[in-house]
Amino acid sequence: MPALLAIDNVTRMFGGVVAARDIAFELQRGEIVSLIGPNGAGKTTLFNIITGFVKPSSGRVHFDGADITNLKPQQVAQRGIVRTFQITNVFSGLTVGENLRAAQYLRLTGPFWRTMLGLSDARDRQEAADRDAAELLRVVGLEHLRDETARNLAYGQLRLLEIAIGLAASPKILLLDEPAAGLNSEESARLVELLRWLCRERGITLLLVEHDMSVVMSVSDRIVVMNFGQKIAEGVPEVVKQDRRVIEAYLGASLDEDDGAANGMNADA
Amino acid sequence: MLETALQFILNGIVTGCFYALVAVGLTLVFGMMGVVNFAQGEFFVLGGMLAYVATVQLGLPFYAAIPAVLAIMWVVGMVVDYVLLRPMRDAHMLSTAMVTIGLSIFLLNTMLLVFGAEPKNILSGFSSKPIFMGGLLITQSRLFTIVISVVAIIAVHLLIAKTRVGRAMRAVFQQKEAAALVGIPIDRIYRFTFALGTTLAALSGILLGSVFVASLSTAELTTVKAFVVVILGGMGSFAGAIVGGLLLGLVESLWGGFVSTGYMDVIGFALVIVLLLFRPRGLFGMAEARER
Amino acid sequence: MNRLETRGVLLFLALAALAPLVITDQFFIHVMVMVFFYAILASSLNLTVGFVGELSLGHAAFLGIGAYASAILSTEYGLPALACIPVAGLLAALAGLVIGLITLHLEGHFFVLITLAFAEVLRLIVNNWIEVTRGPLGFSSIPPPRLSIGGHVLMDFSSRVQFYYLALAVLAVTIGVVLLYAQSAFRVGAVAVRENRRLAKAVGIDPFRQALLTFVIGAFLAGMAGSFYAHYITFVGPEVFGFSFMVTMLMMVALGGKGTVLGPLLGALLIGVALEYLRFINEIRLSVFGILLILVTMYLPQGAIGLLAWRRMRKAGIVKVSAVTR
Repeated sequence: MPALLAIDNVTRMFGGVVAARDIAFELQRGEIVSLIGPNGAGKTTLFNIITGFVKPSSGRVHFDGADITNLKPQQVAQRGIVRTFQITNVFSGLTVGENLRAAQYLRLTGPFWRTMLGLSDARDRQEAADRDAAELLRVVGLEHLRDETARNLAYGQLRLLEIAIGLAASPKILLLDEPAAGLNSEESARLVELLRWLCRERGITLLLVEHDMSVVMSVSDRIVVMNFGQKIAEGVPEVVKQDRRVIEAYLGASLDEDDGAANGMNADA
Repeated sequence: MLETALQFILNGIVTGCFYALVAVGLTLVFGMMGVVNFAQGEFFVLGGMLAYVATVQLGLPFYAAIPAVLAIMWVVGMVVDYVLLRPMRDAHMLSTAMVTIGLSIFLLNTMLLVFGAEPKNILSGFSSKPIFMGGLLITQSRLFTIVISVVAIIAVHLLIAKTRVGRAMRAVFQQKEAAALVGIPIDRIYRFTFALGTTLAALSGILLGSVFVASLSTAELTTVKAFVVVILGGMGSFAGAIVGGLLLGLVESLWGGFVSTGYMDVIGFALVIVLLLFRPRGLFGMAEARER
Repeated sequence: MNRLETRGVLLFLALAALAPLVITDQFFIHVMVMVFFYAILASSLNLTVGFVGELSLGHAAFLGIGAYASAILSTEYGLPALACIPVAGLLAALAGLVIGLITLHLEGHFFVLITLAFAEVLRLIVNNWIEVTRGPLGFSSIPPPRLSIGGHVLMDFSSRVQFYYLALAVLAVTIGVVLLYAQSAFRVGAVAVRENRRLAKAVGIDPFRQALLTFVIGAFLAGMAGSFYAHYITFVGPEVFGFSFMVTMLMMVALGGKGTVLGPLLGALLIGVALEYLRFINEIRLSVFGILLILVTMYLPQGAIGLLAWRRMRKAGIVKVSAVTR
């Protein structure tokens, strides 16, 4: 079976600076893959390339067998690749419920007149979408805040809302940019549960950029490590954390699962 | 034929000077403050009207009237920034635009009440006898316009390039947060910039009034044409505003001379619409991009 | 969009439909005809300014295109006035499509300026293209509508009240379209783009298509308003493209409350009535408008409707203004 997402030797230069060089890896259906590496390693650039916000200088991106390299962000999203942003990004003036409604836009709209007139199929779509939104809110634990304006939410709630927005857009692949950043350990644990549930129950393929090693090590099927715009390692968590080059990239910090090491990595990253 | 063309070019340069001065003010305010000043055309007309009051009603000589009017307009600019724009520093661009639109409506109609609709002559004291340069002719007031415009533009350039205020302006332009961190009083720099933009528009209005007449009916078209110039030159670009202004003046003059005077005012808009089709960020394209 | 607002809109229409039965004063009828006309314009402008959040200063162009289309079609081609209204709307929508395709690609400030430039270009063309538009003279004696079935004339529009109901009918159509839009997913998409353009794209909303759709609907409605205006006033000149109509409708949207359905109606009522009844301060009227526009923008950014909503919520103990109406 071909890979769901294939990144073929993607390079991106900004001026004379290489933000990503010859990056290649694949995502299989139903996998959770983490992209790790020190700041400036090119992880977010890669996210931007996959989702069409930035065009690669060379190389291709294939999704489900089709070349999506030159699509616009909204076209990429329409095919089923949805992302969140590193800096908290929600529709802050809208309520939590409206945030999800906005993310469901694609499945709520049909042909012009049907959408305008709210004909029966539009109404059916609406009801299905409402049920789905209610379920998503329950899963992320925000159902009691449905009518609250997003800008009034606490930080941890915002991060969860971001994920819910991504999910409401019915993605095949969800790209999460540092979903655990700023979360406390309880919230992180909840996040891990949520990510596993998504993969298992909804069949969503996940690609994360994440610095919190306890999250990365506990959810990932595979890990891709980047440094200075290049891929330096790829594999299952147990192998990656023994990789000498990975350890060097993190200034020699050992990658044991105990908290001390994970924190050390955090500080450097 | 060649002489006619050269004459049109000379006329176009004079018109281009008016446009450039107004547009430089507009582009500085936009580049620095992110404010599109829809009242720029009204400041332009107000300059002309005050010069009429000074020279005709108060009987001041032209050379004394100019600095007096500019000083008043500087204060007007400071007051407008303090009262209307300072509270809107963090507001959405739509809101700031609405405020300057409100100001332009207020200024235009209040001037209409005070000065009436008929155009006003400014007594410049220049002889209307043209000067012949080769086969070309130019009136004293037009020559004066070109000289003063060049002096004003060089002065503004030196102000930005060489003085302490200018350094602060450039710092704010490039990195507002960093400028604030090193102790540059951003609010005062904004006020200075806005007053400068207001004064440049007024200077243009005085000069145009001395060559032709000062007329309220030109306010709206002046604002829109200044926008055209700023778009042509790239928003926020000082050199672009000057080049764009001269370009618009030349194109209008040549079009009006050789093709049709009726559509003279359309040509600038047509130019800018066509330009934006191919270069959505203007000729010198340095303005901020919209992500698509 | 909430139930309270829908009720307010329906109440507005119901009161408007009954008013001529009680008040027969001709001047009042005329004032209300103008209020309805302005309400159509303001509602159509609000689609782009309020929901999409892009300031279009070229909206008077669609009013002008509608008015001129109607004037030319009825005086030179004998098209019945009632047929002119939808045709004028469609022509304005077509113009909206062309202008939108060019301008909506541009970043915020550029869009504001270039839409203004477009209206200005059209005004200058109308002034100069004398063979078609009769230049500054414009069209006069534009025939009134007639409604007849099988040769039997039902309404000949010789009285103002008949125009009143025609204006109300066009307004009802407008409100219907705006309500449908506001309740559809299109509004959700537009508001999402306004709130966070990047995120909107990341979840698959195409900002350009969203804005274009809204822009074209607005142009259609403004074109119908222009057509009505032509047949009511019976004269159309280049000033229909002018900035003063633009300013008036912008004021109405701002004062009433942008991004709501009821707001533009309220704004049209308040300002439309003030415009007609305050004729004695005609000269300082526009100066006052300017100041009012500044004050509303600075101190009442959600407009009159925001004030209502806020008071209501404060009564209920929730001091929070819904940002959807921002």
